[in-house]
Amino acid sequence: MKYIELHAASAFSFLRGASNPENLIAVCHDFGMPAMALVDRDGVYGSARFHHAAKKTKVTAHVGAEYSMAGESGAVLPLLAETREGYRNLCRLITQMHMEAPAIDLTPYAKGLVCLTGGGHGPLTQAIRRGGIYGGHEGMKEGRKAAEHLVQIFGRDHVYVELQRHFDREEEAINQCAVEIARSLHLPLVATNGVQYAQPSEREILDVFTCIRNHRTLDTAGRLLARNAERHLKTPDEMTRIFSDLPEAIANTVELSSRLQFTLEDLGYQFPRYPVDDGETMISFLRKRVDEGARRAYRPYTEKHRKQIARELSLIEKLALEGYFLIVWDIVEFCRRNHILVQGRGSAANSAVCYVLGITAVDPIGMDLLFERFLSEERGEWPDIDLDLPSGDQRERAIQYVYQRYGSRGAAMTANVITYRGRSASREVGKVLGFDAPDLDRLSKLAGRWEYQDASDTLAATFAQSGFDIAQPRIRKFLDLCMGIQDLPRHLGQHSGGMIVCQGQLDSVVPLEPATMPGRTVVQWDKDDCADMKIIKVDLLGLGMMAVLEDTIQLIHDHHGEDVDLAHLPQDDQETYKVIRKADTVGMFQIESRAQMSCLPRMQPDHFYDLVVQVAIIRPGPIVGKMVHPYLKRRQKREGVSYPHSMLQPVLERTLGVPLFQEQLLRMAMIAAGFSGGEAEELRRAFGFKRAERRMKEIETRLRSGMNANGIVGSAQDEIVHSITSFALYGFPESHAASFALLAYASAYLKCHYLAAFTAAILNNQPMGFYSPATLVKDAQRHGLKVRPIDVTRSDWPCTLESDDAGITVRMGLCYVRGLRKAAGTALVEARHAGPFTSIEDLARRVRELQKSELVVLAEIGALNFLDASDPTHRRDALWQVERASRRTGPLLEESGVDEREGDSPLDVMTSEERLIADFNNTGMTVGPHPMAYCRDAMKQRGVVRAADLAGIPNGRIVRIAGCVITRQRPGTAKGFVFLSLEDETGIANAIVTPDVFEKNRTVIVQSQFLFVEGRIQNIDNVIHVKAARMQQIAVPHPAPPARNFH
Amino acid sequence: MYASIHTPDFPSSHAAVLDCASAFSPRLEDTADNTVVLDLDGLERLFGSTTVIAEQLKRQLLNLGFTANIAIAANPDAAVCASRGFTGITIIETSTEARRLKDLPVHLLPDAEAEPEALDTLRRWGIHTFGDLARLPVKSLSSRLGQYGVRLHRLARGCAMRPLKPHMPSLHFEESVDLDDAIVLLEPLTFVINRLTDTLFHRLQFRGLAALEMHLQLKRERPHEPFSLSLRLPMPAQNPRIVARLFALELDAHPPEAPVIGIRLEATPSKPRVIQNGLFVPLYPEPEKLELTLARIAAIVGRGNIGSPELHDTHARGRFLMTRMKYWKNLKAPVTPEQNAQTTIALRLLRPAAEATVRLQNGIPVWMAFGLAHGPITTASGPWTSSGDWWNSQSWTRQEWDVELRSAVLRIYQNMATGRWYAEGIYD
Repeated sequence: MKYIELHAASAFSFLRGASNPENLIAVCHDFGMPAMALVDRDGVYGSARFHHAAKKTKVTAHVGAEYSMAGESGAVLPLLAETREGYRNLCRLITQMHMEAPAIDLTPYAKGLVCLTGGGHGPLTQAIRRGGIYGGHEGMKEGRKAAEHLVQIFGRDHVYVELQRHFDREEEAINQCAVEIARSLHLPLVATNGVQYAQPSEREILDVFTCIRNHRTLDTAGRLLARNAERHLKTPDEMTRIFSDLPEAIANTVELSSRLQFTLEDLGYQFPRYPVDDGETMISFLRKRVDEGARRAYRPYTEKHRKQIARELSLIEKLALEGYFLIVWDIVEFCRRNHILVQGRGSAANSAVCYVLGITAVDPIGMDLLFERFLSEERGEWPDIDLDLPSGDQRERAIQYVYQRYGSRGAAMTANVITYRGRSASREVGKVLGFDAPDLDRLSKLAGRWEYQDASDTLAATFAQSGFDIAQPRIRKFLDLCMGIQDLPRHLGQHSGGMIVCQGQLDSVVPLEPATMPGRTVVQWDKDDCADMKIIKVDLLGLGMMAVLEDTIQLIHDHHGEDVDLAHLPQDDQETYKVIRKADTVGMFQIESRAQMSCLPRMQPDHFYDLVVQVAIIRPGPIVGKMVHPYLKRRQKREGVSYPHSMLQPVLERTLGVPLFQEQLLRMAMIAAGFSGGEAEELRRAFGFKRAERRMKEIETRLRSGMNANGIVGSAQDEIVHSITSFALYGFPESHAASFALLAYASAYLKCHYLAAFTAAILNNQPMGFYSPATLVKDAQRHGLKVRPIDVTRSDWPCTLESDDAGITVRMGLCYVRGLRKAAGTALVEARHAGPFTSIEDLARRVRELQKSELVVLAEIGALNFLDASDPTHRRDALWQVERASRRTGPLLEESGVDEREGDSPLDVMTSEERLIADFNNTGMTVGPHPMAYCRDAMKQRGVVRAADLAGIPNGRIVRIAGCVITRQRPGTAKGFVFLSLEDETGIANAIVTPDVFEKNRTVIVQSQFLFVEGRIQNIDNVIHVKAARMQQIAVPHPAPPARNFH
Repeated sequence: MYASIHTPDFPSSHAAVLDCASAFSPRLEDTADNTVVLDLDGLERLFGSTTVIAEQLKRQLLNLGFTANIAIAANPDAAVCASRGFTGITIIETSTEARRLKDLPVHLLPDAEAEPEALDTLRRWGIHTFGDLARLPVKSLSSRLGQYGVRLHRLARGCAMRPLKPHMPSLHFEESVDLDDAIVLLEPLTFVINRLTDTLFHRLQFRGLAALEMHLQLKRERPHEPFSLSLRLPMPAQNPRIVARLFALELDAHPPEAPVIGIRLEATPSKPRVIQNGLFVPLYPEPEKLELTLARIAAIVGRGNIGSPELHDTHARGRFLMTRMKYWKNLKAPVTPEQNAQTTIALRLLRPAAEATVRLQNGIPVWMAFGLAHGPITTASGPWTSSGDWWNSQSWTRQEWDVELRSAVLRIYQNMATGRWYAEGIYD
């Protein structure tokens, strides 16, 4: 072969390249080039994807990076990794550059690296330019100096004088100087094309990126744009022709490529070894911990348990994964020691070892879960353990523990590559093309609609509706460019919880960068890249419900004197299941949504596995796959249990013949179509990719041929294929559902038995879940909980529990006062601990942090009413006093500490309506009566039925309901149907709006806070809906919390 | 007594309301966008009783097409509140203000818009009307809202007294003339414009001002649309002769093309520019005179052909813009030629480029001919390709070669869109 491209940048040079690494490899493969080097700017962001794509097409992927040199007028130096040591040095150099000083001495990092002198931005070109290009002596002198400097750092054998030819006079003049310098210093020449895109047409995308990078439009970018479209991958023949006068520059590409022995195949990543005592090995240590755990978890510890655990341990030993398990166990132990709630989710729940080590909470042996889904020798894939932690500070503590344990250069978060999607693409392209602001807005609103469409009549119609003619060249160009930059990386973010750790230095495996959050570092690869590179990741994910459970347990400990252990909650508590069956599940994890609620009365769960199914069944996968109704019918015994094929009975038996879980689909593929474990895994991976239609088609063909071979034909075959393909986007693994079901059960149990603690905890962890705090408070009150208002003499910053004659009650915390800063709130609580406040003036004097506006809000919500316990005041009185107290009297009078007393305020007491308005405006809720209670008489006259009374109305009757709209949903799977939840003082009523009724009443539905709905009631199996036929906004003279809208 | 005119529905016609009010009294206050207050002191002898004045005001405004609320009270603010709160004509007798105003909502208080916080406080206190506010003890109010609270209290009781803020008409410099006989020749037209310019500049001079922009509007017999000319002067001008001459040159280049029956001249005033020249700084020509000279040249060569050339920031060859000369500032072109283009040979550009015939062999030019030379090409260096403007209709792509003929070294290029060849320049 004649030529190998050794200087190519991908879109992972972030706005300096226009093609994804896969596209570069595809074109390289088409040209028959056996190798190629990816040299992205200041990183190896795209190298994992480049390597992966290259491996598939048997192209050798060389690794390198363009290093931005400091102090050389922005010169960039292309470096190629010759050996593993070179790669290690490259990673460390880039890490050093990102993390610390930009001015770095390159000498310590030079070993194993080959340096090219660079293209237009290279140090050689910059030096020649400094001295003058055309015939200038100075240019040659400066250039020679720069080249000698590189030789000094990298050694004579490791510096190549790079020549690029893009048909540009100035570049050619520099090339002539460079050739002369190379000859005088006896340095080899090497030809490259300084590639920035795969195809010539992608020059337009590069120009757009240049504009984005420089905040210009195409019209004003001028000479920042490319001069021509020559920076694409060129065929070896073309390159040979271009460099026909310098054949050695072409020949040297092949020679240099053969020298570059390093590829990412030889990454050298090792998961860290867990330190054990002398005489102990990691596996022996693990066996001991597992044995201890098993004896605790399994009572009795039967032969079945022993066998499964032994099988898992031997596989772990065989795959040398004992260190990984010990390290995850170590994190879990840290959490336990520090009272941080932790629970593994995902496929780890399939492992008995994880269960007995306390990493997961689901017993996989008891639930007969498939261990191979987690770990299999055949698959050759590393296991994935995800840990759920309470969101917020506790999770951060766990993350910081990992950093502390493995060092800031030994652990890092995985990256999250933010790519251009519909809206961001259209906004940026629109700006670059110079569209004005109104047009930009209209175009970006259209963005979502074309994202998954080809240019077609529908698209033209959509654009026409918004006043754009798709045939107009500017609009056409806009569309083409938007499509062109779709999925190209925009910048690097941080994954929410993925952490990787390494034996030794992680920065010698992949460069690290500082994250925006202090104390965190991010690797340059995302989680898929890490998985492809066989780097084991531990996900430390924040889960709001974990924080709620943790806080609940603490509150129970403090106020009930009981210690609740989530692992030992009473199983199958019927009181809890009774509540769940009634769909009285507001605030409960995963089963509180409107769709879940409408399913629960049909499902009638009465033991844990029912919850596992419940969590998994209300998912787009089963809904789109039309598996929900068959399952429920079979469960209600309205339909017999049948199987697509008798072979599948063992797999589908426990879900009544209806496939619901990902594991079942894998097993179905294995049994029915004879897929191997590896093929089934490939099938699962294909599910994970959006728009992987071609892959899905290939798999379907293989499925069908496999089933034909097994004699499964006709409708049975169609049914199986349909089941499998409908999970394309959202398959839900059984083990994951089981872990979530545990949390769902725990939240339900705690809500049933410790309502006050659960309510306080969930109010303290907002925003989370499906409902607003106002709805949560009203729900708790309907269940008999007394919720006390905010009071500066009692409230802490968070919501707390109080014990009095009414039992345990919730006291709303100061955190719910809008406009009250946390510093002022905590200062208030601290001052109160020093002694009770005697008056508003005393409060204002002692808590200096409180601003006037904050005092006013506190007075308006009645939080200052009880400062004088013997003589409570009213809100207006407090407001009257606050206005005076906030006018400081000056140091002389203040120090006397004497309040200037006045008679009673001349203001009237607030009416109940005014109090309600003040509560909603300033806290987003009220602990007083529901707004609908105030207009109940009027509603009665209109024949409106209360939410609680709907259950008594027979199916099919016309009813009228009214309430505050707390949620509006228009799920993508519901074909335009809209679901509304209306809350009144007795509970929540549900309304279904058909697409045509929605279109007629769109404004009323979208904008009304309080709605009146008339329609036919659907009261079947205790699931109650009103099918809206007529809707009206109602004037309730009170504000309401904004509804939560889900689309 | 004071009368307040409130036109809630006609804020855009406020100037007309002011004009109408000024016909009744010279002592008036432009209180807000839709409110005007007049001092009626002494007007009884001219117009009659306050009731009669109010009715006449209402009638006059009706004639102009506005409906207005008119209120008369002993102090301006009580009149304003009443005109905002009551429709039609309201006359409040002295000492009855508090009783008459008590049901008005507090947001009508004259200063409420300026102090929204105070209004919020009143809302929180449950104070909704003037009466509610008037009932509060003034001492307590003062300790909470300060002097502003005391003022609000007085306003609510209708007993706040203050002098009017007199309305001053804005500075507007315009001169116009309607002609009895249409002017058809430029010379008499210039004569009239000269006279108007003189008057206008005198007026400006009285106020110590100069003109930064001048707008001339000529009313034509046909077509009816007026003919407009504007001069944007490089700096504030004080010399009417030069401005008139500039108009004359403009009119010479762009005549109104119809008989003129009216002339309106308007000046945008500005402070005159005062310069202290340095002793050793070379003197620039007087800007006004230079402007005149440029206008004279522009009249000869065309407006688009005079100014400072500025290179267009693009890879496209030969693009430049003519911009207005910035002769009194340091000249610094925003776009500099390519740096480092320290070529040792000069290229003499052919403008426009001469079309050429070129023969190729293996993609390399081997023979060419154009107007100045022809023959075999001995050396060809290239191609140098460039393209751009792909996002608009000016999209271009070309391939350049440097070629050596026996007689000359040339730069030639091929327009890739049309396939045509051109000789662009000759190297020295």
